[in-house]
Amino acid sequence: MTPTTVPGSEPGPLAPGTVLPEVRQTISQARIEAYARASGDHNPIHLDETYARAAGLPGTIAHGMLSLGVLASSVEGWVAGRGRLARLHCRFAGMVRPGDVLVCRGRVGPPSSDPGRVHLELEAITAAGVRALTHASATIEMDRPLGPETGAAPGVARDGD
Amino acid sequence: MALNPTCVGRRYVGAPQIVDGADARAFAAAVGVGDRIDPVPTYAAHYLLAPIASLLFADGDVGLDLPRLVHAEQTFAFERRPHVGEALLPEGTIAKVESRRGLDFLELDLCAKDTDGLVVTRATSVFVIRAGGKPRAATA
Repeated sequence: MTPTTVPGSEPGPLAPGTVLPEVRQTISQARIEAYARASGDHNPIHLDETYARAAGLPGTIAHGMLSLGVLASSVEGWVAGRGRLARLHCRFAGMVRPGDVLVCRGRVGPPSSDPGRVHLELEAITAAGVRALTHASATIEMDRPLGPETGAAPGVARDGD
Repeated sequence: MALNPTCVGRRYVGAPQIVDGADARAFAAAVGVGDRIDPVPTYAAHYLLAPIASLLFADGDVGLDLPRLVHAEQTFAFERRPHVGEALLPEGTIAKVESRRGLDFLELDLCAKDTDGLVVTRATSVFVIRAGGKPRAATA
């Protein structure tokens, strides 16, 4: 797996209960347009201000899948090449507008019965407090089972080692 | 219910999708990853969700009211990461249509297989069609 570079994320232990560092990214209209081109989703509610307003929206809005993509990339930054994303889930709960700052949060869930898997509890909100992605979670298949206490894979250096 | 319940089980088979390196990098950049060589996980939106959703949305028999359609929920299960240059075969099936709390729900199961027939990515998308009131368009 190629490690990702996500601003604000640092490799750290993945012990149960660990709160992962927030990742903040600004969702500009230019970025929404770039996502539309890259994903193939050209729904005009994301691209055309007049159309979006006629559809009852306050203006163009970001693709929910763009927010989910940012959240998934945050997960990969937190995992930092120690495993692979095997499952990802969310509900699209709120709108993200151009100029909003999307804040991705994660927390390591309770221990899995499978030591090779880590479950992350996730959410994405805007800096203004709109809950964009809720009921979000990820399952990571670790390259090596985690240690029982630290959540660090054997051989992975930690702060203070 | 505005949705046609007899459409449950309807299957859509998309055109083969070649994983293009430039497209995958553009997608990665859009979700905030600038130095990526292999596709990011949610690139599945490009090779799986987009081609099948376009077929679903063009199917007039289903009864989708697109201006009232909201992408409500998404799940991905990744068996492996696709490789740049490989062909993936996307398909989808309407798994469920139901009405709850005045809203119509459509659940779409999706799958991308490689040319050996092995599953690369599975997904489930849930769309909600608001029954009335002010239109609100899809957020995904």
